[in-house]
Amino acid sequence: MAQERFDRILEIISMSLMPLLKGTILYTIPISLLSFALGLLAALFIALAGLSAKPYVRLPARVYVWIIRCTPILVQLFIIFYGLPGMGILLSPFASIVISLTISEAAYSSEIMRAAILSIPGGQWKAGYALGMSRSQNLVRVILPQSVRICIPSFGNQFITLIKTSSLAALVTLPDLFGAAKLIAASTFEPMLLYLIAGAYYLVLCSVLTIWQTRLEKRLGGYQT
Amino acid sequence: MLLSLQGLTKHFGDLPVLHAIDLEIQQGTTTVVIGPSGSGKSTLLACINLLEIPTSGSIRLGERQLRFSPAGKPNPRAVQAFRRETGTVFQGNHLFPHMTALENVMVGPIAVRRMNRADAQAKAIALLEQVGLGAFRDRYPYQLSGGQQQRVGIARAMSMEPQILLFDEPTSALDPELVGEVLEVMRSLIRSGITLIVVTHELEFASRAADRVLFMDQGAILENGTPEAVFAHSRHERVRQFVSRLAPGFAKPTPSYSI
Repeated sequence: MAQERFDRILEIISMSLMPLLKGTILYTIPISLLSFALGLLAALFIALAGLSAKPYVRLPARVYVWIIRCTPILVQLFIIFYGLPGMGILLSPFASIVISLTISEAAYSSEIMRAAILSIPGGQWKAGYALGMSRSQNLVRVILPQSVRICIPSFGNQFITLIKTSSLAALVTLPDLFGAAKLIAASTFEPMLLYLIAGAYYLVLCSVLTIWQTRLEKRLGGYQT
Repeated sequence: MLLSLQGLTKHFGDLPVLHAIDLEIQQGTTTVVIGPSGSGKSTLLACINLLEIPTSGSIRLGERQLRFSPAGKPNPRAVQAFRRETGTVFQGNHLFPHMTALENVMVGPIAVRRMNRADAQAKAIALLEQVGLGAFRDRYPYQLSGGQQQRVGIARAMSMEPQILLFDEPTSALDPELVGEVLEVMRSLIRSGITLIVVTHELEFASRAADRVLFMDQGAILENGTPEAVFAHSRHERVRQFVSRLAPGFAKPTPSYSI
């Protein structure tokens, strides 16, 4: 490799490291954390509604999950960011990406929770009811603490997927990790280099999460059934 | 009478499981329910603690009375209040696997009776001592033997200070060498004056510990009498057959042939 070319590569790497880090810290991580937290909260209610015996509670939850899971996130994001302004609802790029990631996260995670709750043996419900617990006391004290442990591996997966999906933020003009790489790639005509660097950032980020997830699983798996 | 059932009927869909059961249980007595599988023994218990809602009839326990009709379900609050007065020990213990033995015995009083933690803990420790598991209070269920798990289950059922304790085949899922310790705890409960209804196949236990024995068959109570009367002098061929098959030499079956 010519010395000149090598210097050029080093220069671009060094000038892109900071903007990409900034995009990660200011956008990728906050967007992912916020959507994940809000998504899980919504998922709990959607899962419980989806398990309700009352059809007027259950059906809306099931329809929501059906629609959100069967349409691309990118389409949902564009509807929110480009479609809603036509109806007079103007949302910032940041709000648009957080909302669209939250609604899809809620749909997927609610299915994980619903499956986990259903997997708890019926005897556990019976034992709680036999003590005189109400349905909600039974859920909070007996069923959900056991379900959460079942959910942890899948939630870890969901969060890692979410980090990567948050790169859609670049398509609604945000300079997140991917967005920053895209901007620099366009101005330097070095797409290969920039997207490799961006890929490396995602790889490190998600590897750290994988290690953390394994630890969390070990810590919460402190009992057997 | 502490507990009385009147015309208690239970259908699962179109399938009748209990036929108009009438039953009276006196305070401080032990009633053992025996009978072939599918005879409705477990459903009877499940209807007394309302884990199954009866289709029709009525139940009175102490001061509380509930009537059932196919037309409507009873008020959930009334059902919960009723369940608090009964304690249940299950065949498969159904301990909460994410809680220690102590927490299993504390959770009812804390969640349902709104007892403060310190009081609930003191009470749970006393109950675990009573079933001989004081030293095991910080173990999780999976760290206990089947017999120990079942004794924690008994302590948990007692934690709500129920008027009546229901045992649904408490030793059926246990290894034979673990049955004795559970029956021993049950005998000590009987001595302490608690009212028990026990579904079991342990006829030896029934004959020594029970005040009354009910024989159930096809959703009805075929025989209701003292252990002596049911085991040795039953008028029903069905009962004699069942007893002799379960414990040969235990009953005195009339010979089915003569020379």
